[in-house]
Amino acid sequence: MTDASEKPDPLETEFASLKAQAVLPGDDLMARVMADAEAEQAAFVAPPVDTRRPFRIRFMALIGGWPSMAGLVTAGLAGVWIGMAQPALLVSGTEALFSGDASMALDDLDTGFGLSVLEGAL
Amino acid sequence: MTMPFDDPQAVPTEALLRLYANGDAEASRLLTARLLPRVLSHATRLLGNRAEAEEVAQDAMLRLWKIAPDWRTGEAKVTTWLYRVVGNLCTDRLRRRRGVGLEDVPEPEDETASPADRIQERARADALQAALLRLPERQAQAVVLRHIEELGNSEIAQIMDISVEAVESLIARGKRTLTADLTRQREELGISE
Repeated sequence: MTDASEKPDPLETEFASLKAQAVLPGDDLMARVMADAEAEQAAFVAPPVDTRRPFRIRFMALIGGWPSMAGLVTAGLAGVWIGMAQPALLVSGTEALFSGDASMALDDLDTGFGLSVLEGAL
Repeated sequence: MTMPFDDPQAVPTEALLRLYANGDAEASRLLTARLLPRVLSHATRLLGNRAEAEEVAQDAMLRLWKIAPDWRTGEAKVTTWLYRVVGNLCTDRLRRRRGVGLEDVPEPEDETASPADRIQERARADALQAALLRLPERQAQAVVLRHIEELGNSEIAQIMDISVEAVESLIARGKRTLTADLTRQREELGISE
């Protein structure tokens, strides 16, 4: 270790004298540094929302402009089309319940254990 | 009840930098007040010239503002990073300066007339400052960080990107040269021990 020596540092007085000569920034340097800070901050921080602009323009800016609006309209129209178009390949719920497929399923339920015992007793 | 962060001085520097990156205007004022004196002081000790030190200090602080949005908390201390930037900027200037000849090195400035009872202390400080400027820049940087900025050897090692043993070696060699240099100067200036 350099600082654990028992004898005093021969340069201690000189270091103390230099430390005593304070180097403080002047107002001009402080102002220049603060101006740099503000300029840099303005470059990477989003500007505050200007509430004086019409809502329509602020909304368009929020969603990303006309390209995003076109995407929203397309997605909306596709949803309407899917909802309105006739689902020809699908069978409605009521029709499926009373169709042949549904009765076969009910028959399967009838083949229970109790019924097999009765059949064996006969 | 007073919470620790009610006092702006208690807010860690890294947290202030994050606030600055998020657009807090007060944070930049607090950071400047906290860091600029240390940056300017260190640059002045390494360069021995106030005007050049101010340019380096402003440049180093500008680099801090620019890196603020990308700063990763916990990777390094802001002050460690700043001392490294200041050291590199000063080294560049010193090498350019040495390239144009040692005789062009500006003498340490005497900005204010010292009172009679402080002339000797001022002379001592100037003598040390002049001797620091004659040291190899890495030795001078290590000595200033240790004995003027009063940092620990491990932090100096991080700042200079070398091992602790290398820091100890630089400081020891630097102080040996300083001692020999100042002994000659004391005789010339008539300063008592």
